[in-house]
Amino acid sequence: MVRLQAASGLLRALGPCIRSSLSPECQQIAAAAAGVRLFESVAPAVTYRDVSDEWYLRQRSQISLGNRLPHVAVSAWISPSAVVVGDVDLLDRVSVWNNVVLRGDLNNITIGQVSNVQDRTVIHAARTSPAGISASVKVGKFVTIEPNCTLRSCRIGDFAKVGARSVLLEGSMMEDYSVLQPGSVLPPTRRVPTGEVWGGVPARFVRALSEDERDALKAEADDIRRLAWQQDAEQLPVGTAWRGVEAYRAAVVESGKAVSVPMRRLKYDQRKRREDEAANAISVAAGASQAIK
Amino acid sequence: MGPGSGETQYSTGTMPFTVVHLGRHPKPKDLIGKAMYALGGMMRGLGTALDSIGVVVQGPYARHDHLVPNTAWMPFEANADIKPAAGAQQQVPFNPRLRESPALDIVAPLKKGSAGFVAPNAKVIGNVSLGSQVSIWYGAVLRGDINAITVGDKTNIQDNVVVHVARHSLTSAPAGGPKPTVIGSAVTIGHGATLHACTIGDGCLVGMGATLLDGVMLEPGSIVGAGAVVPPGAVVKSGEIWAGAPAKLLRKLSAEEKGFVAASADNYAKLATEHRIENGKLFEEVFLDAAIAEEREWRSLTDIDLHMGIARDDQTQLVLATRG
Repeated sequence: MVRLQAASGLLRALGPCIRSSLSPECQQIAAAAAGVRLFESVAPAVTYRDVSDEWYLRQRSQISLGNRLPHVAVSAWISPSAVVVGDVDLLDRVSVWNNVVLRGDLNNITIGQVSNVQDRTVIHAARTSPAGISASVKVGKFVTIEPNCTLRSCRIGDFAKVGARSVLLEGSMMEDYSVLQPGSVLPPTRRVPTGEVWGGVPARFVRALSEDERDALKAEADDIRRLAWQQDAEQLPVGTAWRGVEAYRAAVVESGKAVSVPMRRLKYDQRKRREDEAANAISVAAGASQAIK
Repeated sequence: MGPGSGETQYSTGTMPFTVVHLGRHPKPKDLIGKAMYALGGMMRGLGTALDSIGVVVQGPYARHDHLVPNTAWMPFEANADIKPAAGAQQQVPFNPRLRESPALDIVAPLKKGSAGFVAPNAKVIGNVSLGSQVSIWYGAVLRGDINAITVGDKTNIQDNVVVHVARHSLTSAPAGGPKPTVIGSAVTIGHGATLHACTIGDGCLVGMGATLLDGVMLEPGSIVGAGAVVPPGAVVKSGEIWAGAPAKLLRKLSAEEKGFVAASADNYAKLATEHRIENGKLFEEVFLDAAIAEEREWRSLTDIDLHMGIARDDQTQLVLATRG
């Protein structure tokens, strides 16, 4: 393949000693040459408005950072007050409740089918985990995460339940059909085995789950999913407040006070400039490495 | 300034919101197009009028949609009893449309420099002073209504943290009365923590979900573990780790952990820049970004160059490979 040959040729010219001192753009290109796709950070924007100048709430529900964008299933419900940022995958019939923050800016977050992330929970994925395993967050199917939890780089199996106001630290794991009692803290790399109830600060074994309790876990997740469906039905996709905003906007445009910004052109110029700088840096580095040899 | 210059960054002034064109809205040129546009416009106007009449007919049971005011940077009624004061005191007319309107003393949050990140759905209210490069993440609440909150440089207050102050205190402090919440520089306050009228020194780490009650004092370089509940009036000395509920001394910090705390503040300051840029984009640019992303995704699914047998030069190949 022409592409791979060209890439490997350039990589040989770079040399391993240069790689670490490269700028982020050059590292990206070098990594692409090696066949690894790095996440792009958000490009400098063409427009900016400080939040202190705003009159109205302007928080978006789903925010992309460069090519880290959330993928949300059609049947999933996200509360309008929740924030889903970065590389987050919400599978079928997932419900994300009020004031939840799913921050996948450093790593991936995947929430499995029919799971629910209840109010004011924060899920964040770190870049690396001290446990040595992947620092991404993987939540299984039919999982109930009760309100006010904090999850960081952990892994939760299917049909589990995380009690209210509990904290799961980096590298911790909950296997299938496990329950964490409310208010407990799961220390890093601690693992809750299948079919057990753990609780406390730090979390310790409490008792085993009975058969009826195991069956109830799936039903509980389904109940929350049904509640979320009701919420979704109550909320209209758009309200009517936009009409006044549009009328004001039209008035400003008519009065000639609007600013015309060639945004596509500016974005293209900006990207071209960054790529030129990166290309120059590579050629300079390649030239330097040649000189050293 | 002007199209194609690409050097200037368009920032907005003090307008309520900026109106920015992505090119002009296309208008029909042919006669039939113009007629249809006019007819459609009349029907839409009729629909709007009908909706307004319907709202009137529904009376007190009508559902009104309002734009939610910005709480990420919100002023509060000023209180002269708060000392030392934080935030910026202002005097505004009660009703700007009245010529002789009584004045209203308000105090607005204050920040140093423009490098900090305040999430749009954070709540920074009243007597709050932020240092430079402070990042307030999504859903955080800094409620400086009855006392002052001061945050030092390069501190990060992560998602869903609640920072509040107290007017009264159970213990009579050496200085007398409740202390304002003072957070030092390079402090990391983990997700979901709750801080109430406490003092945090420089370079501290408050774990996720921790609760710091009234009058707690964290000396510089100390750590409060995740999920800890620190009882009121406790003093965490330098280099100590407290954990548990109620929190007790766990152990001393190692040198590696001290380095980690310092690195954490730096990492978060860098991460905050990305979020600040993305959240500061105007709607039109967000719309444009989404269109670009969709185009890229479509292009990545179909390998046009391979299908067409196009071989590009080395640099272009690499750039296209990066783009995915």
